[in-house]
Amino acid sequence: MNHLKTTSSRSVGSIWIWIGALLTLTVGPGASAEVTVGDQPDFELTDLDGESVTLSEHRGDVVIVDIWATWCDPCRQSMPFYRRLYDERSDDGLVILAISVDENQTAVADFRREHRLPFSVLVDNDHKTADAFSPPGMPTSYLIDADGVVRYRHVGFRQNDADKLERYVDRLLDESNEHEETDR
Amino acid sequence: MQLSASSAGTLLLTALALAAVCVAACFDRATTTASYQHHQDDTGRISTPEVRSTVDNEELQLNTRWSADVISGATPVAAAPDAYSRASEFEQTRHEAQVGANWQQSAEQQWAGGVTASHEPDYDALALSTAVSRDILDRHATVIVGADAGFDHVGRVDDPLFSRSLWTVGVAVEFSHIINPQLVAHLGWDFETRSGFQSNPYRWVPVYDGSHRPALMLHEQHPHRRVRNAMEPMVVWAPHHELFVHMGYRFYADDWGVRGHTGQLRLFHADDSDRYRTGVRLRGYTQNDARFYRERYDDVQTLRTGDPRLSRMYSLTAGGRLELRPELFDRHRPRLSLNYDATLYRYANYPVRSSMLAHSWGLNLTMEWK
Repeated sequence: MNHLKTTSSRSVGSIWIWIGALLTLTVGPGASAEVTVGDQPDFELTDLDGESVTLSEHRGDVVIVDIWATWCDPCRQSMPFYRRLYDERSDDGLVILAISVDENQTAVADFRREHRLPFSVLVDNDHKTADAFSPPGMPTSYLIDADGVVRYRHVGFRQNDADKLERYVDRLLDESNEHEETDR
Repeated sequence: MQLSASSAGTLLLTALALAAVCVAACFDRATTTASYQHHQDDTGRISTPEVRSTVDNEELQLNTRWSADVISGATPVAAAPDAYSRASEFEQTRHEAQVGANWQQSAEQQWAGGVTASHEPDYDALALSTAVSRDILDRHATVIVGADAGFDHVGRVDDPLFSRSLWTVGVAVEFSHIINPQLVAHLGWDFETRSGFQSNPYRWVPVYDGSHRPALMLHEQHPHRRVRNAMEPMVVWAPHHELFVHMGYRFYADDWGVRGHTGQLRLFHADDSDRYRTGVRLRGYTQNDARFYRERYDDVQTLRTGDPRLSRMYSLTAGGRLELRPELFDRHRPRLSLNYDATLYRYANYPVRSSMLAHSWGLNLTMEWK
């Protein structure tokens, strides 16, 4: 089960007449809901080891949900950055859930081993969770605060995006720690 | 009393068979063609079995056709945009059925009409067509005016909520003139407008932002409107009573900026005994790229494509056909034909593939019943 829950709401003569009527029709794409800033999404997926993982079980942590695939070059470029970020900040409460939309699970497992990814790599090979998030591009990462609310959505990955993402993560980690201290 | 599905199917088939016998009894002649075509290139294989039948008398001809495209996708290769087409990763079958009629209204005028429907797991299409042809200039020339309209529904096999539509409307005018017993000239023009979803819903397009590596991948997004025009002059020349030469040129233009030029030469030889016919053909095609298509997708843009058929490209096709008419089963006049085509595609600015070789071959058997 991997449903996504979100709080967002979101005769020649007659032939020519007929042709003219049809020409005036403009058929646009149907509107689709997408997870964006302010939403509180949830999902349940399994990781590469077969363990069930939900987003809601990480309430209280700062979570990066990254939608990616091994065939997506910018996604591959982003992984060393996420590995470093996780290594440096997991003790502060950062969780990374990398949702792979690959259909070839072996390729994902090989990629994780090759790049020594220390965080959870989740499998979404029927794309239901990714489609429910409706990322505008690949990769898309969602920074989710300790209350489970999407605070920042980032599309694509360029090398100079790393600093920006790092600053957002630090800001959310600071907020989370302040909350904890206030609660005490 | 309830009717099971298998009983209903048997009844339906029996009713259709009886209808076919009744229809056949009303007509002077029936023709059935069974064929098998196979196409193979770097992206996959398509096998197409087809059955066509016609019944006709002096005034009316009815025709039906059924075909299936069994599509087997090639193994995806990482970093190749075509591999992002998830539909190409498995075998799927597309069924198409057509019924039509030709009515000889008078010695000079004929009407034709038809309905075509096709279904595959992620695409349904319905099209209506009609045409009127009239002989003029003491029956030395023929003018044909036709129109067609179609509605397609685009889905995605992995997403039942994905639903897009595409409307197609077209008109065509053709003029053929017998200049002398050895020479026929033909001029055709067709116009078509498409409104709706025209992208590949599975395809992701790499978008570059000035560096040599893509910054992100975006779903392919084509304009929603496309207006297509084509003009085709052709001559058929018979330098000898057994030899026919078809020479044609087709100019294509659309409002996406594509301009295409096709040249074709076909030679047919039919021997006097009419026991065999042979033909060879050579076809060349070249086009520029669509206006919204950017080399290596250098800018983040609203409209984008990963379709190599919208890039600057050319293709060269060479092929042949052999048709045998053995003196067997005299009343049924069987015709057996074999055809083979090889096409070389060259893509000038498609980053994934610079060239591709495609092979197509087919086998047809036609029988008549009088």
